[in-house]
This record gives sequence, structure tokens and C-alpha cells, in this order.
Amino acid sequence: MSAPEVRDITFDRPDYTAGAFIVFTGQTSEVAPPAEFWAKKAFAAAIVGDVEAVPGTARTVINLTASPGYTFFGTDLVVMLYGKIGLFASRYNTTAPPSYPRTSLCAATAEVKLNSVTIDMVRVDSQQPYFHKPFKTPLTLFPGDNLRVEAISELGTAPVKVAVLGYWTFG
Amino acid sequence: MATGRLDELIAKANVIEFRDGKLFRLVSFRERKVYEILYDESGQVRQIIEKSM
Repeated sequence: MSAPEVRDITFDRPDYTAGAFIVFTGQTSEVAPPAEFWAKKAFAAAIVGDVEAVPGTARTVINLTASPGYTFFGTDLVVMLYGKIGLFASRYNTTAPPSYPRTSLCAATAEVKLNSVTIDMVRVDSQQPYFHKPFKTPLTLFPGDNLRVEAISELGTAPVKVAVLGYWTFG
Repeated sequence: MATGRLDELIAKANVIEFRDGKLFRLVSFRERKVYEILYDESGQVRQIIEKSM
């Protein structure tokens, strides 16, 4: 594979609940960006959400339906408690480490659903408040497909933050 | 109408931000625009505010 063109996209506004710092310098992971990305028929996207998860009731964190004409390729899933998300991924050269100042004791589970089918469950707690998973195969949302992430707390009120990193392709 | 407009904005967004399960903010770095979505009491989209970055 020839070296891809360097393409910088930085999401670093301090007022965002979640910010992604992404610098595309080439493929280094198992998940290949789609050919459309290198052909510049795609662009990076971060789908982020946060919610105060409570015991006994699943609360929606992300509820996104892919727009007509656009396909989303998710390459990474990040779930964390507390703080701000400074997204990173193994394939990206990044500048922002995640920060998660620990406050109260809590634990929560995030459930990732594609068209109402659970495809992933992630648990985070006060001791392990950060989870990052590079997908081995991209999480693909074709036009009309729905991505929903729900969170439920096991212990206390849990500030759950979720991010799905990836690309939109179009045309 | 708002749904169509939102679909269009979502497809152009680099950051799609949800808060409490609702679409809250869209950021397009290519356009250097931030869109904030406001809802009415029934949960329907009331307004989309466009800001320059």
C-alpha cells in the first residue's frame, strides 16, 4: 500500500464534552480505512455522547441513524467515566491523552446496538474507568441503519461517556 | 422538514454530539460551522442554531 496523503483533522475545542484529537498519518491497525477515504471521498467523524447513568433504567447515550447517501465506518469504540474524552486510537498519532479524574465510586455498563441487535457490551467502573476497543472489522452503518448506545449503572450515578470514531463515506 | 435538514447536517459533521440521548451539537470542520439543536417541551426539534467557529 502506498503511503497515504497526510491529512490532519483536529477536534480540540475545550468547550466540548468530548473532543477528539486525530491526525491521520497512515494505517497502522487491523481495520483498514475504506478505499474511499484515501480517495478523499470520505471524512473523519466522531460520534460522541454522555449521560448520567442510573441504576435500574437504561438511558440512551447515542441514537444515530445514518443519513441517506452516506455510510459510516466505525473503527474504534471508547467508553469512559468522568472527565473529558481525549480520543485516541492505535492507528492515529494523537496528541490528547484521556483524562479521567476520579470522583465518586460508581460502575456502569454500556450496550452498543446496531438496528436493535446488541453487538457489544462494555463495563467501566471507578477502578477501570477507561475502555478503548479498535474494531477488528469496521462497525458499518449503511444508510438508514441505526446505532444506539445505552448505559445503565450498577452502582450510584455514573457519568458515562461514549465515542465511536470512524469515517463517513459518500457518493 | 427538520429531519431532512438534520440528516443533511449529520452527514457533513465531523463531530456528532449527543447529550442525554438527544442530538445536541454538530460540528463541521470543513465548513467551520457549529450547529446546536434546540428542542421543544414535547421533544421535537424546535430550532437549529448555526454558528461560525
